[in-house]
Amino acid sequence: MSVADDRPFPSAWEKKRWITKTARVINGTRGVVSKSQLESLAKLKTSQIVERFMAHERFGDFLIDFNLYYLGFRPKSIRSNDYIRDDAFRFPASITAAKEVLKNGDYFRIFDFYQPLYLGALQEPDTKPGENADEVRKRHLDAVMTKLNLAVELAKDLPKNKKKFCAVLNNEPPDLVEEIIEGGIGQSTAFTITIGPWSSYFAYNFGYCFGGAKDDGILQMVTTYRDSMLTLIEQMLARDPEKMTDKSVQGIPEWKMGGFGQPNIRTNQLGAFFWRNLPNSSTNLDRKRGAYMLKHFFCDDLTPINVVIPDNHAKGKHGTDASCFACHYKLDPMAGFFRNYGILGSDYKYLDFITFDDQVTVDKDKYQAAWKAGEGRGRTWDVGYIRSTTDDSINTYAAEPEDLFEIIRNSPEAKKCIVKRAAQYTLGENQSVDAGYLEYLTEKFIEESKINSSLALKDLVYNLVISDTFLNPDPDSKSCYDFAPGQDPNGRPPCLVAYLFEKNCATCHSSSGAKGGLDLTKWIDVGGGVFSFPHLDDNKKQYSRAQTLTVIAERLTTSDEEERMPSNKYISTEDLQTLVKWVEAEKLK
Amino acid sequence: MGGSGEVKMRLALALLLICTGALGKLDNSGEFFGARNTNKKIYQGLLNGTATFQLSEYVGSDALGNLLGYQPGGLDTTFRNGIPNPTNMMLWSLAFEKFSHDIGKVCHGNSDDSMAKQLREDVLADVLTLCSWPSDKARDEELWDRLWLYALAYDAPESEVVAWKTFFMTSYEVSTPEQLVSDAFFSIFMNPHYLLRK
Repeated sequence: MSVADDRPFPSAWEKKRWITKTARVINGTRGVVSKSQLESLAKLKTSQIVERFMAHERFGDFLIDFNLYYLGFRPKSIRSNDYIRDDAFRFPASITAAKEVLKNGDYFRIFDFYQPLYLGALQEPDTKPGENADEVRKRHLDAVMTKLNLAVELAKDLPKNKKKFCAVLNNEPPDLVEEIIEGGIGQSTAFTITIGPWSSYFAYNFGYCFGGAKDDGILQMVTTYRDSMLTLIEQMLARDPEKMTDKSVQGIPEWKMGGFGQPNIRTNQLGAFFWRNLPNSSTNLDRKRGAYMLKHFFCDDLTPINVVIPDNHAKGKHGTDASCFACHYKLDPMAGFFRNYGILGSDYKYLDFITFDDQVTVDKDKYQAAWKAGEGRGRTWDVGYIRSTTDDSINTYAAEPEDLFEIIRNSPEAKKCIVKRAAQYTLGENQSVDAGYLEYLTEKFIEESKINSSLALKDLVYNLVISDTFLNPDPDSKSCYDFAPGQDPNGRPPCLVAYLFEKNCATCHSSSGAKGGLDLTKWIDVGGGVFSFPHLDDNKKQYSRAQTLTVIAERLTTSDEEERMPSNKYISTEDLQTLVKWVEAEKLK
Repeated sequence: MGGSGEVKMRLALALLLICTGALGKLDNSGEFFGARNTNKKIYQGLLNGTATFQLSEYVGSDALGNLLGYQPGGLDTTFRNGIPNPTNMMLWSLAFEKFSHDIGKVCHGNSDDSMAKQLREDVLADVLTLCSWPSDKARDEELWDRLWLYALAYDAPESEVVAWKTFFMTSYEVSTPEQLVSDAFFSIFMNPHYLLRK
C-alpha cells in the first residue's frame, strides 16, 4: 500500500459506504459515526483512509480478533466499553502478533512457540455489604498462597507426609481456580496460570500420588510453582484498580513469570483454552490436537481423499486401513508433536509415565512406541508435517512442538492459509474467491513479508478491503469478482477451481494439448445450457458432463499411482481438497 | 387506516423491499448480523448513553434472541442461525414492528415516554419533526436523509434510500404521523442491508 494508491468509486455515496464498511471491519466499530469525520475522510485517497484506520487504537482490536480467528477461536467480542475483555486473552500469540503489527515489527511472531505471559482484565470481585473489593481480592489470593505454602511444607518430608500431601493435592486444581476467580481474576487468567504447562506441577504430583512415580523433583516443582504464583499475585495486587483493565492493545503489559519462565513450564503458543478444549485420551491419543494444527495453520480440514498407499505400508490396525490412512498418514505424525503432553496439557517429558485427560495413566515408552521411527530412517520419531505418501523428500520431520512452529513459520502452506483466512474474515466465509486471485495475494504477501511481515499483513488487508468483492453491495456468494492481474475470467471454468486446474493440470490438459481429449482450461456449453469441460472421445464426440466429472473425480482420488492425477506432480492438500469437493458437488447438480 | 388499508400498506412495504432487489439473493449471500450486533448497531445509531433497550426483549427472551443469529464463541467459529428462513424472518419482523411502533409513539409528545428518553437528542428532534407530517418541515428531503443515516448509515447503496424516500413521498397512504414514523423506521430495519452482513 502506497500513499498514492487510490481506487475510483462510482459515486460519492459509494465511497462513503466503503469508508463505513471498512471502518467497521478494521476498526471494530459500526463505522464512522461522526458526519464531519466522514466528510473529511471522503476527501482522502483510499490508501490514506486505510492508513488512518490502521493508526487508530481500535485497529489493535481488529488484529487480535483476526489472529484469534486464524487460530480458530471466536470471542463474542474483544472490547467491553473502553477495555479489552478477558476473552481476548485466550491465545497469547494473538496478542504478541497484534502488538508486533502495531509497531511494524515481526507479525510472524504469531508462530513463536514460546510466548510472553499476558493476563486478562481483572474483575471486580463479589463483595458483601461493607467489604472492600481490594480486601476481598487479597483474601482469596492469600488463601491460594496458604494452600501452596502448605504444599511446600509437606513436600519437604514427602515420605512422612505423603498421605496428607496427596489429600491436599487431590482438591487443589479446582480449589485454586475457584479461589483465583473469586478473587476477581478473570476466568481466562485463572485458567492460564493453572492449565497447560503450568499444570506440570500437578502432573508431577499426580504421578507421585496416584501413578506410582518417585518423588524426584517434587519439592523443587512445588516450590517453583508457589514462588511463581507469589510473583503473579504481587503483580495483580499492585495494579491500580483504576488501571486494572487494558484499554489498548499496545498497553497490554507482559507479566513477570518468576520460575514459570523455566523451559518445561514456560508460557507457550498453546493457551489454556487449547488444552481444555482439545483433550487427549487413552484411545484417541493426541489426534484432536493434530487435527487442530492441520486445520488452523495449514488450512487442511482433513477431507478424506484417498492417497497412494506406499509399498511398505503397515496393515491391521486403525489408521493403517486404506480408507483411514487417507487422513491418518498426516494426522498421526502431526499428533506426535504432542506426545509428551498429558492431562490438561501437563508436560510429561521428564517423567516415565503419562496421564491422559480421561485420567488413564500408562507407561510412556509403550505409548510413544507408535511414533518411533523404524531403523534406517535417519530420525528418531515419525513425527512431522507430511505432504506426500510417496515422495518423502517433501515431508518435514521433527520432534518437539518448538520444531513444529518452526515448520509452520517456514511453510508456504501456512502463509497461504493466513491469506485465505484474511479473505474469509474480510469478505465472508461463504464468499467464493478466485483461487488465482488468492495465489496472487499469497505470492505478494510472501514476497513483502521477506522485508517486513507486518507491512505485508497491512497491505494484504488493504488489498482485500479495496477488492471488488468487498465493494459489491450485494455479492453472489458463488461468483468471484477479483482476479489476478492479466487473468481473463471469460470462458474459464467456475472461479473456485479454474486457477487450480490451470496450475496443476494445464500442462497436459489445455487447448494446445488435451491429453485424453480433456481440456481443463475451458468451460463450454455442451448442449441445452449444460456446461462442462471440452472432453472428446476418439471419434471427437463430446462426453457427457456426468462422464467427464466422474473421470476427473476418479483420477484425482485413486490410490493407483499410475492413474493418479496430477501425474508426477505435487499438489497441495488444500488445492486437492478444493478440487475434489467441487467436482463431487458438481456431480450432484 | 382500516384493516384493508393496513394490509395494502404492508403489501406496499413488502413490495418496496423486494423492488430494491436485495431480497432476491437471500438464498446465497449474506447472513444476519445477529441479535447482539444489531442491538449494538441500534445503540450506535439511534440511542443515547443512558438507554437500556434490548432488542431480544421484543421477541420474548434471550433464547429466542439466539434464533436471530449469534456467535457461540470459543473454538466453534461458526455463526449460528444466520441464514434467513421463514421463522427467523418472522421474529425479526416481530421485533422491529414493536420497536418501530415504540418509536412512532414518540409522536404523542409524552415526555415520560420510555423510547423518547432513550433516543439520541438529534434523532429525537428529527423524529418529532417527522411527527408534524404533512408539514413542509416533515417533507424536507434532508430530514429523511438524516433519519436513514441514523439507522442505516451508508451500509446500503444510494438506490435504497432513493427508493425509500420516493415511496413515502409519493405512494404511501398516511394514516397518522405516528404510523408514518413507525412504518418509515420499520422499512429501514427490514431492509436486507440493515439485517444482513454481505
